[in-house]
Amino acid sequence: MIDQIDLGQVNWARAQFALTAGYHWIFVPLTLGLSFLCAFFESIYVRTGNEEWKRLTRFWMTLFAINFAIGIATGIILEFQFGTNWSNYSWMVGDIFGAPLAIEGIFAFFIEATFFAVMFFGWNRVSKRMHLFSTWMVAVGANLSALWILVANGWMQNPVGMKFNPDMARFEMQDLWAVIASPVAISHFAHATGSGFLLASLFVVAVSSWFLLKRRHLLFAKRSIAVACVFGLFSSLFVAYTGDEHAFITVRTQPMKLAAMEGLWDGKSPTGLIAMGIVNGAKKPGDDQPPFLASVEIPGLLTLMAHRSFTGFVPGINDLVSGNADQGIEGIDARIERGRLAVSALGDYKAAQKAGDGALAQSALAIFDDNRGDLGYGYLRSPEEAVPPVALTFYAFRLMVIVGTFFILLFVLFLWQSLRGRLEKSRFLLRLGVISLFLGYAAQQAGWIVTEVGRQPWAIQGMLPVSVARSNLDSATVATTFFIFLALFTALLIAEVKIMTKQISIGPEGA
Amino acid sequence: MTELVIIKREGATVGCMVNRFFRMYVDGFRSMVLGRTLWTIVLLKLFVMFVLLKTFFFPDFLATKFSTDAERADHVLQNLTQRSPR
Repeated sequence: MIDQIDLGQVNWARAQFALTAGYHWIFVPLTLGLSFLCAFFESIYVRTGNEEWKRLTRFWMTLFAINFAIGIATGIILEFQFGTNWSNYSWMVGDIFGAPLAIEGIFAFFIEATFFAVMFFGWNRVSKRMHLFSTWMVAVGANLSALWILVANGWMQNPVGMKFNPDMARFEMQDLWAVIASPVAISHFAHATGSGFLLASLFVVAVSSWFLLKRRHLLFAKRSIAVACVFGLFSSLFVAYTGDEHAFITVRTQPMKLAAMEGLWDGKSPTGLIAMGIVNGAKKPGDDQPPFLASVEIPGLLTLMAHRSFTGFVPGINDLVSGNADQGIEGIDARIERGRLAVSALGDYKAAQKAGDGALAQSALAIFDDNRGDLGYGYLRSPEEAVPPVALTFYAFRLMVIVGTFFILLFVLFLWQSLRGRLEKSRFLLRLGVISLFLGYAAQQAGWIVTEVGRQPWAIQGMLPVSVARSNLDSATVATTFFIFLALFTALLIAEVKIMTKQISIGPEGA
Repeated sequence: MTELVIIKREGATVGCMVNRFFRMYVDGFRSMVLGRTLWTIVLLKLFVMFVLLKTFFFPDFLATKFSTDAERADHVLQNLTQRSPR
C-alpha cells in the first residue's frame, strides 16, 4: 500500500507550506515587536509632552502600518493549504484547532477594527491617554493573537488533552486547558514572540543607524536607538532564556529533534555541546561513520542544558532508533509494531462495524486502545524514517544560536556607545547595525526550520506522519500552486521593501 | 422631570460619541495618503486570495468530494487504514 503514496506530492505540499510559512514569518515578527516599540515611544511622548517624541512615534507607526498591511492575511493561505493539500490532517485536527483559531480570528478582527483605527485615525481626535491605550491594546492584541496560533503549533509538537475518536477519525478535545497551558505551547509562544521583539529592535536600530550614517535626523535616530537597544537587550536575553527552556522541554517531548539539533548520534553522560561542526552527511543510523568531519565541542554543556546538571543521559539518534536497554529507551521497531497493530485494529473495527459484528468491533477497539499511543509509527516503513534531516536542523540551530548571541553583544555595544555620546562616530558599529537586520531575519527563519524540519516526518508528533496527513492529489496540482504562491509572495515582499524604503528615505517628516 | 433630563443628556452623549467615532473613520479614510496605497494592496491581495486562489486552486478537498461528515470520516479512515506499509 505504501508504494501507492505519491511522495512527490507530499514534498511539493511540504515545500508550499514551508514557503508560505517562511514568507508569513517575514511580516509577523516585525508586527509583534514594532507594535510594542510604538507603544514605548508614545508612552514617552505622553509622559514628557515633547512633540519630537510624537513625531518619532508617528514615523515608526507608519512603518508598522506598511508591514501590517502587506503581511495581513498571509497566514490564512496556510489554512487554505490545510483544506486542499492536507485534508486528512485538517479533518483529524478540526476539533482541536477550531477553538484556538476561532478565538484568534475574533481577537484579530476586534483589535484591528477598533484600536487599530484609533491608533492611526485618532491623533488629535481622542485624548492622548485614550490614543496611548489604543496603541498598547494593538500591541497586546497582536501578541495575544499569536498565542493561539502557537498553541495550535505547540499541540502538533506535543499532542495533549485529546483522544482519538475511531468512529469519526478525529482527535477530539478532552481538556482545553491542557492544550493551552502545554509547556511546549507556552515556551514556543514566549520564544517566538520574544524573537519578534528582538527583530523589531534590530529593525529600529538598522533604520536609525542608516540615518546616522547619512547624517540625517540625528537626534531622532539616537532617541530611537536608545529605546530599541534597551528593548532589544532585554528581548535577546529573554530569547536566550526561553530558548534554553525550550531545549529543556524538547529533550523530554521530542528527543529525536534535540538529537538532530545537536548532531548527537550516540548518547552519553555527560554529553558535550558541539559549538561548531561540519556534519558528515553520509552518516546513517547504526553505521560506524564519524558524525562530524570536524567539530569543536564544549564538554558537558548539552547535559547541563538537558538536565540542569552535569549528570544525566541525553539520548542520541542511534539510542532512539535502535533502543538502549541500559537507559530504558525503547527502540522504534517496537513502536512501529504497536503502531501497525493500532492501524490494523482500526481497519478491523471499521470492517466489523460495517458488517454489524458488535463483538468483533469491540475486540478490535480494545486492541486499538492498547496501541493508540503509537498510531503514527504504524505508517513508518523502517525505524530510520523517524530521523529528521540532521544536517539542516543542526546548521539552522547553530545559525540561530550564534546570531542570537551576537545580538546581545550588539545591543550592549550600541548602548555603551550611546551612553558615551560616540554613536555618530562609530561608523563600523552603525554599518554592523544595518547588516544585523538581515541576520535577524535569517535567525527567524532558522528558528522555524529547527522547529518544523526537526520534527519530521511528523505532522502530529508520533500520531500522524506527513505522508498520511496529505490529500489524494497529484503532485502537478500542488507544484502549480507552489509557483503561484512563489510569485504572489515575492510580489508582496517587493512591494513591502519598496514602500518601506521609500517611506524611510522620506524620513519622519512624511509620517 | 429631572430623571428625564438626565436620560436625554446621556442619550445625547452616547449619540455624540458614536457620531464622533464614525467621523473619525470617515475623516481618517478621506485624509489617507500612504494609506490609499496600502488599502489598494490589501484589497487586491484579499481579492486574489479569496476570489481567485480559494475558488480555483484551493477547494476544500473533503468538502467538495463528499457531502456528509460520515462520508468524510469514512474517506479519512480509509486513508488511515490503507496507508500503512502492512
